[in-house]
Amino acid sequence: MDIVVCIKRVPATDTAIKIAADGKSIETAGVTFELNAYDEFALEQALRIKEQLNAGSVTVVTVGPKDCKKQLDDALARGADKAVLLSTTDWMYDGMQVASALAAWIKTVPCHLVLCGRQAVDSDNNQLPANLAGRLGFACVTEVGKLTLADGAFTAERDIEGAREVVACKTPAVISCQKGLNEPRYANLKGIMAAKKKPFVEQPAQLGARGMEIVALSLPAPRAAGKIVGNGAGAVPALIAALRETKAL
Amino acid sequence: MAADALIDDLLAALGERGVLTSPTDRARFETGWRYGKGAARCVVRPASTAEVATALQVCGRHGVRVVPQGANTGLVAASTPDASGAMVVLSLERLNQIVDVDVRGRTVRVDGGVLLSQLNERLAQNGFWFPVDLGADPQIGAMVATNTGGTRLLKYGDVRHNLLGLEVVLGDGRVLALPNRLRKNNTGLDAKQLFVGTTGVFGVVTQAVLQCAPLPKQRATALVACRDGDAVLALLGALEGELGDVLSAFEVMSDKALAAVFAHQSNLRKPFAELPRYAVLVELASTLPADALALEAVLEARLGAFLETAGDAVLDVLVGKADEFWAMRHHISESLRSEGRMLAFDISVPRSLLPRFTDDVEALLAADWPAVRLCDYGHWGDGGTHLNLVWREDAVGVPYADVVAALQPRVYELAVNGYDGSYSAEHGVGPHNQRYYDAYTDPLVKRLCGLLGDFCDPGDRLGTVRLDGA
Repeated sequence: MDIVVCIKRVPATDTAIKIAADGKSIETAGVTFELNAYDEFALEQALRIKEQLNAGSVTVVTVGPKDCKKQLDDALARGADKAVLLSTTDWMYDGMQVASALAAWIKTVPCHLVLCGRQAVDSDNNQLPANLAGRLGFACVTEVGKLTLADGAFTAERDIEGAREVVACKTPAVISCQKGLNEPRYANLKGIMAAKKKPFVEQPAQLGARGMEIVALSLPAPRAAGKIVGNGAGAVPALIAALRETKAL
Repeated sequence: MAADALIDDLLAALGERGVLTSPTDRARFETGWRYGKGAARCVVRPASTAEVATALQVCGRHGVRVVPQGANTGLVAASTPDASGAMVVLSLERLNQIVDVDVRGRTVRVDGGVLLSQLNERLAQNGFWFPVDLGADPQIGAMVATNTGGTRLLKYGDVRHNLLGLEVVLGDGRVLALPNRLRKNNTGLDAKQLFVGTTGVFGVVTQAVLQCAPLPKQRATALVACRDGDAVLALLGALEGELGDVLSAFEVMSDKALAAVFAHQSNLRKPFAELPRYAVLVELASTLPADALALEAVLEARLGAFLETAGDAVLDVLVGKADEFWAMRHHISESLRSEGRMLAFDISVPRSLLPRFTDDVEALLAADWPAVRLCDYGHWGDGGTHLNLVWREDAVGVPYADVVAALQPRVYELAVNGYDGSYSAEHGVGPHNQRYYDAYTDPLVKRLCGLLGDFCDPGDRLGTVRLDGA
C-alpha cells in the first residue's frame, strides 16, 4: 500500500506570537517551528500500516518554504521512505489552496491512502482532509481515534457527540487522525543517519486560487491584572465576595 | 491574645507588615515544601538589612531562637521552626530587590530574599542568567546557605563557584559586609565561604554578589539508552573528551525511575520500546549562534561515532525533543511518590564508583528487603545520585518508620565509609539529616564550627541545626 502523509510545520505551542507589520500575518523571525502534533499521529499510523503489511511505501509531503525541510527530515528519520517539499514562499493559510497543491501532486504518484492530522494547531481550520478527498475523489473519514486494517479494508472509530462511531472504509481514502490514535515514535540516531540517504524531492507547489483572505489578525486582549483583596484570615469574606462578583461561586 | 513582650518589641521595631502572629498567617512559614513542620511564636519579615539586624537584636534580648527562612523549598527541613512554638521564623521574602546589574562586569548584587526566577527574569534583559539551575524556585540567600547545585553543575558549578560577595547579619545583629565584586582577590581569609552551605547558623545572608553567565544561544539535547552503569561512565568520558567545552548536563535515569514516570504521567511517551537500565539525558549548550556552530549536528555526529564503537553498551540514541526529555527527568520525583512509600537519598560518591555503589545497594535490598525497589537517578557527571527507595507498605509488611530506621543508616554507612561518599550531596544539612552530620563529621570540624559560632552567633540564636556537635 502506498501511503502519503500530509504534514505541516507550525509554531511551537509555547511561542509568543507577534503580529507582523501588515496586520494580517504573524512575525516568523525568532519563531521555533515544529511538526504539527496531529500530523505526528498520521505519520506514526502510516509507519505502522507499512510495518503490518511489510510492504508499500510512506511518503511525507508538505506545502511551504524551504525551512520545512527540518520537519520532513524528522519524518524521514522516523521511518518515512521519501519526502516531498512543494515549495512556496507564500503564507499558506487557506485549506482550499493547500488542498489544491497537494491534490495536484498526489495525482502524479501511486497513492492508496492519504493520512493527515485532524487539523493544524496554528490555524485550526480543519478544512484540508475533506477538501483534499473531494479533489482526489477519495473516501474521507475524519478525526479517527482508532484504525485497523484487515483484508484490504479499514475499520475506523471516531468519537462523536455522546457516542463512538465505527465506520468501514475501502481505499483509496483520506483519513484524518485524532489524538489517542497511537503513541508516535521518536526519531533515533540511526534513523537520522539513514534519513540523509533517503530521497528528498523539492518542486514548486502548483497553487490554485485562494478561496478566502485573512484581512486582519489581532492578539487576544491581555488578561486583567490580579487583585489582592487582603491578607490573612480576615480577608476571606472579601475573597468570597469577589468570587461571587465574578460568578466563580 | 495574652501580652507578649517579644511581639510588642518586634511590632515596635518592624511595624505590622513586619510581624505575623495569627495562626493563619504563620501557617505557610511553619511547613516546608517537602520536609519540615513546626510551630512558630511569630514570623518576622524585615524589609531591610537594618531591620534584620534589629529583629535579631530584639530576639536576642528576649532569649529567643530564630530560624532564617527563604522560600521554604529546602529538602532537609532546615528552614522551618521546631515543634516547641518558641522559635521565631525570620523570613527574607520582603528583602527582595535586585540592587544592581553590572553588565560589563557580568555581576549582579541582589537581596537575600530575591527568588531565583525573579533574578533570571531580570538578567535575561541583559542576555545573562544565574546558571545554578533547579526544579524549585528558592531565594538567593537560602541558596547560598545551602550551596545548591542543580542540573547544570557540570558546566557552571554550584553557588560557591558563582558567588563573589556577601552581606551577612550575624546572630547578634552585627552586619558583616563583604561586597566583593572581584573574581581575583587573594587577600587572606575568604570569609564569605563561612556562610556557604552552613545552613544559616552563622548569620543571615541579606545580600549577595553573584557572577552571571551569558545565556546560551542554543542547546542540543539527546537521550542515550545505556546497557549498564559502566556504559554510562564510558559515554561521560567520551563526551567530556570531545565536547567538554559545551557539555552542560548529564542526567542519568534508571529504568525503574522512568517506569514510574510513564506509569503516572500519561502525557509523556516512552522513548524506547524497552526501557534500558539507564537512559542518559545529554545536553550541550553554547553561546555561539547556530550559524557559527551547528550544535545539534555536532552532537549527532559525536554520538553516532560513539555508537559505532560502543558495541552493545549503547542501545539507542534519540536526538532533539529537549522539552520532552527534560519533562521525563523533572517528573521522576513526583512519579515515585505516587508509587507508594519512598525513602529519598541525596548521595554522592566518586563518580567512577557509582555503578559499583548502586550494585551494592541493589544487593543489600535483594538480600534483606526484596520488596523495596531502588529507583535511582541523578547527576552522574558530578557523582551525585538521588537514590530513592520505593515500596508498597502492604508488600513490605512493616511500618514506614521501621523501614527507614533499618535502611537509612545502612545506605549512608555504605556511601560514606564504604565509598568515601557524602550523605548530602547538594541538599545541605538540616534536622532531616542532623544525626548523620553528627556521626560522620570530624570532631575537629565540629569544634571549629563551635568556635566560629561563638564569634558569629555569640548568643547561639540561629537555626535548628547544630554544626558544633553540641
